[in-house]
Amino acid sequence: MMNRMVLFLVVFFLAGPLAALEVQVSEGRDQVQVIHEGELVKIRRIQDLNHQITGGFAKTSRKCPPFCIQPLVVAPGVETVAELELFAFMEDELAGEEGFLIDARVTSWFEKGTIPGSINIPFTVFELKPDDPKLVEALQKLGGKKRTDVSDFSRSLESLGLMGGDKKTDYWDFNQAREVVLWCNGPWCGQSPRAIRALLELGYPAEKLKYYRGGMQMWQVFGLTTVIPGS
Amino acid sequence: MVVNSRYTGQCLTRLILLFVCCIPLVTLASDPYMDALNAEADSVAVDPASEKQEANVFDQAPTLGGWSNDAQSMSQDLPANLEQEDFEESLKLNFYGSYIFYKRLDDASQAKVYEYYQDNPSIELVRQRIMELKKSR
Repeated sequence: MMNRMVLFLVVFFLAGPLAALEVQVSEGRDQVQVIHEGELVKIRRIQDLNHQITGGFAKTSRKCPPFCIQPLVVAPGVETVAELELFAFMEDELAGEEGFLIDARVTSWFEKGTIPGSINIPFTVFELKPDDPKLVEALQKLGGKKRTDVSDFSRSLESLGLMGGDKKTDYWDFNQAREVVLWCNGPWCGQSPRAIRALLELGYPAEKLKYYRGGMQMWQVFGLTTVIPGS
Repeated sequence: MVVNSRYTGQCLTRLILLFVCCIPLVTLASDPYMDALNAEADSVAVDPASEKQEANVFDQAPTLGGWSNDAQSMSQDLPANLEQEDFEESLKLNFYGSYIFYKRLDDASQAKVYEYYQDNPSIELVRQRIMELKKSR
């Protein structure tokens, strides 16, 4: 009887570690946690071993153009990341409010479901004219500072790399720019590559930008948690 | 004859002007890429099985005023006498909710939390301190 009780207690206390999920996000980890719309969300994988993707992300073929396969490197100096690097970004830069995860798709896509922790800034915003209020608001959110009345003398010094000039343009100071990961529908989607190219055109530092090429397509392939905005 | 040719010239000029004026309107009205994007979005949804469910949300939402449970560890105390780096690692591993809010504090406030922890290695007290500093920002 005593032996049974000891055995029960041993099993009971071992049950915690043994109860790890069968489908983990990475070896030894059941979940990644991230704040989305003020709520702490656990990102996990679908546990049904027989589950297959349903819905639009099960499609193999879309017209190209416009839905063409994207390169691994979208622009010089912009790092391409995959899921594990994205998890690390979520737990460090995103948790510390030092970075942003941007769903660069147009709103009609975002509303269908997004990656937890993302904010929606459609790529079209980054292609607006330099003084458009929407673009100004977006860049300020990302840590850019709008510049006014910059003298030719200042610009001359800055062009020599002085006064943090390598991260300044006529319109923007990107010395305090945050780390940003941009993503869209996956390797067949051109929306985040367009956003990244537009940001580079605006002077955003390449080393502050990251491209999650897998996007929603790979997120769905791995059965990772999605959120419907506002739900 | 002269009147006719002048009339024809005027008509032609008006037609050309009308054509030139319409070009920007046609361009604005139709962006094939955006049309294709929106059409595709209409037919696509994420896999419902991947959508956030009860299991993906903590029982007690981490609002600034109401956070009281990390739902992650049964332990009430942090290991004592940790260096700040190890203290942060311990928070991250065992009390992730508190760690998120700790990380959102500025360096000076993080140092205050660490200082407080050195005298009070209780997660409950450390958590309260983090939230006090968070609210006072």
